[in-house]
Amino acid sequence: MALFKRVENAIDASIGRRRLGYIALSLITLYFLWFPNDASQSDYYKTVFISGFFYAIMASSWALLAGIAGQFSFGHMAFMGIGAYVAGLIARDGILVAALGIQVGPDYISAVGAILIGTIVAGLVGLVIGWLLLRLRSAYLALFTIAFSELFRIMMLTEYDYTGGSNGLSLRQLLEIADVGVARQVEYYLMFFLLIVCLLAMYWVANSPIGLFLRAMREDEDAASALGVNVVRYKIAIFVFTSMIVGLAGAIFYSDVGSERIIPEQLEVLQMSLIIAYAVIGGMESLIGAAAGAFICRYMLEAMRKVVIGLPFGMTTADGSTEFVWEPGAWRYALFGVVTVFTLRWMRNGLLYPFITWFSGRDIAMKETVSIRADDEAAPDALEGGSA
Amino acid sequence: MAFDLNLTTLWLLFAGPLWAAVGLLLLPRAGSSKSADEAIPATRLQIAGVISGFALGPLGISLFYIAPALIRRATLAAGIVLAVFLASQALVRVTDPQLPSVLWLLLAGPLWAGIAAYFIPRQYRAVEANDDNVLTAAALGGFAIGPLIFGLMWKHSPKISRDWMIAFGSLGAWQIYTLFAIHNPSNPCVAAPFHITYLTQQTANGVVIGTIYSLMAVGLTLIYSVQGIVSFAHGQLYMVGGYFSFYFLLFGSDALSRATGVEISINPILGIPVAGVIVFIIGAVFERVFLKPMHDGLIERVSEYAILITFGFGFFIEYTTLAIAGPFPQRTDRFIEIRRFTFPRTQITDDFFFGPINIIGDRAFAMVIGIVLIFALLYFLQRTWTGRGLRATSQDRQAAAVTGINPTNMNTLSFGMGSMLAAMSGAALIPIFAWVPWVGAEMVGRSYVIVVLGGLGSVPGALVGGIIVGIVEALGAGCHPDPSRGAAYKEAFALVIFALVLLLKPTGLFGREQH
Repeated sequence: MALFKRVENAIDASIGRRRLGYIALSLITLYFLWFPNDASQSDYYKTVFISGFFYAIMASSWALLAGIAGQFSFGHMAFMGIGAYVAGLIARDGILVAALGIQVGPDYISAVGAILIGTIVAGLVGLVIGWLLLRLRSAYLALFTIAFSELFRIMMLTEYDYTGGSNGLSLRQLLEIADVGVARQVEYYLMFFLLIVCLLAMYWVANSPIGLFLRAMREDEDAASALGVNVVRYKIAIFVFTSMIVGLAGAIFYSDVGSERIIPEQLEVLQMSLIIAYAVIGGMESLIGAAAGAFICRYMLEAMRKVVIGLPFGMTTADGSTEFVWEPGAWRYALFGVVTVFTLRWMRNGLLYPFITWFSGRDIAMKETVSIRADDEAAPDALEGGSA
Repeated sequence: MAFDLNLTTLWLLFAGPLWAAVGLLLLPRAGSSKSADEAIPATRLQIAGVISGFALGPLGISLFYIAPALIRRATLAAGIVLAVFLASQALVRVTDPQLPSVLWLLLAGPLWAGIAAYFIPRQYRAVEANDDNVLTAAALGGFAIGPLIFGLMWKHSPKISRDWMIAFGSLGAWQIYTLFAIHNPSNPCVAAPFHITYLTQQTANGVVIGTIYSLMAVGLTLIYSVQGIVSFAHGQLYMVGGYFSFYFLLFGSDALSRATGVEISINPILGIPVAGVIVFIIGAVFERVFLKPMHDGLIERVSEYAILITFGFGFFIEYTTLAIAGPFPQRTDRFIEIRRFTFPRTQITDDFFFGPINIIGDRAFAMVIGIVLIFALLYFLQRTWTGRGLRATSQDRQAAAVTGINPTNMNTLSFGMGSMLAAMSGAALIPIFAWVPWVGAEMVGRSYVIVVLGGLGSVPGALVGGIIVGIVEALGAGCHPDPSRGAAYKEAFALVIFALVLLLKPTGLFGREQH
């Protein structure tokens, strides 16, 4: 401990923790930029990384919505699905607005146009749902968004004439590159830059006065409103913003960048719970923490498909092999659930929180939430001494 | 428009309205002649007069005239159902589909519902009238009668009772049914003469399955009423209850057979208490470790923590079960050997008959188990000291603590019992449904619908809500024009109700005010 303290002091005296943090961050970014050029890595891990970036966008935008703005939405996956499905349907069938006499054939819509329309539609639906959610708080809000997301999933599953049902819907290819190796690299960079752009946009929102208002509303909506925060406007705005981000991410990811087709199974509550678990493990109140958590969890879940441990000291297993092989199957998700629950209980700000605080040199989340208010609920326990 | 004039149509057009008018004039006099302490409001007497006159003619009016004490919500609701049914019977026979009602239902109805729901509550607040339930009534009324709702509610701002909502809701439902009947004349739900039997059959199925749904929902509502949290692990506890029963029966039968040398299979009914006890312990331990700190004030933002921690717990249970039991569908033996109970066919007139109605034996048995358990729970809550302690804690924690009830133990007990009820309903359903580890996710969605519909925290509400959800699912799936889609949309019907209830009346039918 003393050594650690001395190193800490040395760093503080020379370059400073914050600067070291930025250096570490740029090194990680450089590694990600270099990664697809690493010939020793298989295409498989590039695909894993691409989906890792996608889930990082999902988890960090959920962290913005739930952790910072305090709206516990379980409908995040549904908005992603709206973006992807709308983009796919428009690219296939075109647009028909009979009332205005507008008809655009599918040939006139490019893949980018379809993705943009999908994003906008996700935002519009987010506007309506966000407005409906204004009346609801915590558990009711979670239940309503679960209902919305399930309704959307069931509709996509059942109207198979339009959406392809459980076979899924193919979107128009965004990148038409013949060479598979090159295509994989371009896809990788596309998803990575999308993640960077989304993170920057979300950080800009979170650090602007809007972010401050959102935190104030999360802690006490009535007090924030009394101090002049336009609660209605910012609540809806943040919902629309995150819906558009996930709509965009979904439409791009499923345009043959990360996945060939969007299937309704992707919209299940269980998938949503994975996103929530990623964000919780990474840290719900830190966008970069949630993103890193999602990426690391995604990577771990893939890497743990087959665990091979070389046994030391010439030991052998029962069948004479020097390696112990374990295929965990569903156990890795069970383990993942244990990690989630324990993180929630004992490391509320996520497993990456100590690193982030150390590098930033200040205790962000602690400052915000240090005042544990004496809730009415806590009071009776003080009285119960002699009552047992 | 072509009418097939028969007895029902004649009744609807001539005799029904006549008797309704008579009832409207006659019944308020009956009320005013009674002594003051049991006076019934004049509005309600008028409504009772119209409904009873329309539905049953002189019979209904004289019934209420002789015994005004019978004018209760239940009887009025029954009268409305009958009246709506009679009216729809006549309108089903309108053969011209080009009715303005189509346009009304698809475009104008929701539009007026939205407009009324937006403006009328504002008007109430502007004149400082009592605005309880006004939003709900305005939305339903806008859907049912369009701009006329402003005439009823704008100027006088009447106090809205439940009768208003029942009336408007029934009117809207009747419109939907009529439109549906016009467009799907050959659908089994509307095509005479089988449709009454068919509807009754579906309703009976719905009631049977709804009772079991409510057993699970009662657990959820018990946890909410004491702790103020919604357990998002409830579906997984239900699922794991089924699996505990399954493995108990499997290993138990095996061990018994080996010990005695005779092939013995244990009846699945014995799996129910076993699953209940195991899951009670699991739930209680979870509550002690993860939820108690929340009540001790060690955790900030309690409601969000509660959502996440129960959610994570459910996630863990689901995947652990998947790892152990595998993704293969499992099922236990039947409860009873009787395949189905049949109510025989009754011929009423030459071209009108009723029945036969079948209820699957195991489902009926599971329903009986559900009813017995719910009544046992009610007995526990109402008659025992611990049960009263639970209810006291749910009403006022501090006052309960002062009178010597330990709220911490009551928290643990409520979570354990809630989980136990989920597990028991799982164990009661594993002989009926194919059991896979993700079976809980679908079921818990229903429980949320039920508890929100009945009012979070209300046990009778959960029972009523369960039966309503069961009926809606059965009727929705049974009446959908495309049977395969109807089955796929089964959950969706309940979810639509859920969304509407959350938006219009978040406290549900029997709920207390939101904490």
